[in-house]
Amino acid sequence: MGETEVQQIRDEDGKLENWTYTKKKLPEISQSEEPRAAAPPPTGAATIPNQQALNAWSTGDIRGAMNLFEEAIAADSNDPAPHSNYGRRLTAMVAYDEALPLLLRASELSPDDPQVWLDLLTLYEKSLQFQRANAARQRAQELAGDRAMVRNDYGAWLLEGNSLP
Amino acid sequence: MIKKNAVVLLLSLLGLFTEASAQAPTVLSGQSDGGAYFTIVVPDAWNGDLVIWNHGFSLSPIGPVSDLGPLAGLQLSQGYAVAASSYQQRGWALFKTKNDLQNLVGAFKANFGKPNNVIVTGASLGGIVTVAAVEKANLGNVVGALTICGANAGSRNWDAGLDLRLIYDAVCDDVPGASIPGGAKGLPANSDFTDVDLALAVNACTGILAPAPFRTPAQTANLEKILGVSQLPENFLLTTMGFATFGMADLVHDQGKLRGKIGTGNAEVDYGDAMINATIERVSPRKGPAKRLARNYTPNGDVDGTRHIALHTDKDGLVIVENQGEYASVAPASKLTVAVAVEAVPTHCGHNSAEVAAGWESLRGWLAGGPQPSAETIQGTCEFVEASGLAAGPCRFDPTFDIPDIDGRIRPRSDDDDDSDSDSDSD
Repeated sequence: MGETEVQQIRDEDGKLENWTYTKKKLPEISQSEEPRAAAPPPTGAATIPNQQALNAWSTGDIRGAMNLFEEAIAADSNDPAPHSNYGRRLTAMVAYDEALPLLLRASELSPDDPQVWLDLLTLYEKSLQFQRANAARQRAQELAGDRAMVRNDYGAWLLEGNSLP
Repeated sequence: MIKKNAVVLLLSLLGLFTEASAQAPTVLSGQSDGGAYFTIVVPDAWNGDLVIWNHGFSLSPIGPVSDLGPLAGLQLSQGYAVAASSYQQRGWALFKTKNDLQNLVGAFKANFGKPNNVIVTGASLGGIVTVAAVEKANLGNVVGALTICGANAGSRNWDAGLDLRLIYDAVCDDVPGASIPGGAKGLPANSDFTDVDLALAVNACTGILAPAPFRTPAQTANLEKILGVSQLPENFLLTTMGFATFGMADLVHDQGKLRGKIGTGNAEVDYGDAMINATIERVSPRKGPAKRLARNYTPNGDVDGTRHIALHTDKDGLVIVENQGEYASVAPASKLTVAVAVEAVPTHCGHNSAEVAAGWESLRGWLAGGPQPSAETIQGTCEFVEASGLAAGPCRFDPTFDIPDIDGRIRPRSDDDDDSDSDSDSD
C-alpha cells in the first residue's frame, strides 16, 4: 500500500491549502486475474421480448421498446443480446450513464465478440474517455483480426460489412 | 485496496503493463481543499518535463481522475511526467480551473521538484481550459500546448447553446410530449429532468430516434427546421441539445458560476428564418453574469512564447471547427498551427491514434527547435506514423481546408445586456 500523508502547500496568493496524498511506487506487476467463471448460457427467455423491443424501436415506439428491453433483461440476465441492443440505443439517446452498465455486462457475457468492445468504444469516445476508448479499440481489433472497424452514419463503431440490430 | 486497484486500473489503461515497460512509475493521487482530485504519474526515467492533461465537458460528479488523455502511454514512455486534475467544478469549469491547475502544479513541485518545461494539453472543454492556462494561469515555463477538438473560441460557444435551445422551443413547445422545462436557463433549478426524458422529448418533436420512414410528416418538418436553422448534423442533435439543456442549467444555476442568471442573449439575432425570427423567445443577459461568463473564458491571444498545435475534425457538431478560426484571429500566427481532419461521418473528437500522435510529435519537434509545423507537415508526420505501424490511421488532415467564419454558425450579437440589474461582479 502507499503512504498517505497530508501536506500544506502555499498557493499563488500565499494561502495555505491542505492536500491529502497517496504516493506509491508501483511494483513491477505482471497482471494476473483469476479467470472469471463463465456465465450460464442464455435460457432463451429473453429472445422474444428482445425481438419485440427491436421491432418497436424500428417503428418509432421508443418508450415501448425501452420497456420491452427491460423485460428481456429481467427474463434472462445472462443473455448478452438485450444488454447490447438496449445499451446501444441508450448511447444513441446520450444516456451514457444508463448505457454503460449494460454494455459492460454484455462484454462480460460475450467477451470474445468484437462488437461488445466496439459498443464500449463508441460510448467511451462519445463521453471523451480516451484511455478506456483506446483499451476497447485494442481489444476489438485483437478479436476482429483483419476485418476493418468502421463508423456507421450515427458514429457508432461496427465491423465493416456488418449491420447493427 | 480500493486505491491500489484504482491505480492498477489506471496503469493498465495507460498501457503500462506491456513487455516494453519494465520500469515502475510513481503515482501520486490526492485531493485539495477546493475539492479537485488530481493524479500525477512520473516515470523512473523522468526527463524533467511535465505534461498536463485537461479533460472535456462532463456533468458527472467530481471524482478521482480516471483518464490522462489519449497520449499518456506514449508520453510516459518518452519520459514525460503526466498529470491531470478532475477540476473542482463540473460542466463549464473555467471559473476555477486556473486554481485547479495551479494546485496541481503546486502538488507536483512539492513532491517531485520544479519541472523544466510544462506542456498543457486537452480536448473539447479541455481545449479552452488549456488556452486559459497558457494565457493566465502562470504555471511555470509553459512552452507548448496541444488541443484536440478544443472549444478554443471560449464562452461564445454558449451563444450557440442558447440559440439551439430556443430554436427547439420555438419549433417544438406545442408538440405533445416535446416540451422541455426551463428555456434560456436550460432547466429550472433542481429539476429532475433526465437525459432519457430529453431524448424522448426531442424524439416526440422530430422522430430523431426512429428511422426516417417512420417519422411523421410533422416530425420530418420539425427536424428539418431545427437542423436547417442551427446548421447541426443530424447525428449531433441530441448531444448538442444535452449541452444546451443540462450544461446550460449547470452554468446558470451553479452558485460558483452564474448564480441563477443567464449569461447570454439573443435580443437582436437574425436567425435567417422568418418563422423563427417571429416566434423565438428573446432574452438579454444582465451585465454581471454576461461579464463573468465572458471572462471565464474568452481568449485574448496573450500566449507569450507558448507554441500551440490545435487539431479538429471538420464536421464536429458539438464544438464546431470554426472555434479554431476564432482563436486564430487573436493568437499570434507564429505560435499557433491548426490542422483540420476531414471526416466521412461527423464526430466530436473523432481523431484516430495516428492523427493525435502526429500532433504530439509535431509539437515535440517544434519545441526541440524545428520549424513551425503546418497542416501539411502534420499530415506527413501522420502518414509516417501510420506507415510505421506505430498507430492506426487513416491520416485525414487537409492542408487546404479553409475554416469558415464562426459568425456563419454562431450568429453575432450585440452587447444586448439588460441594464436593469447590473448584478455585482466580484470575480
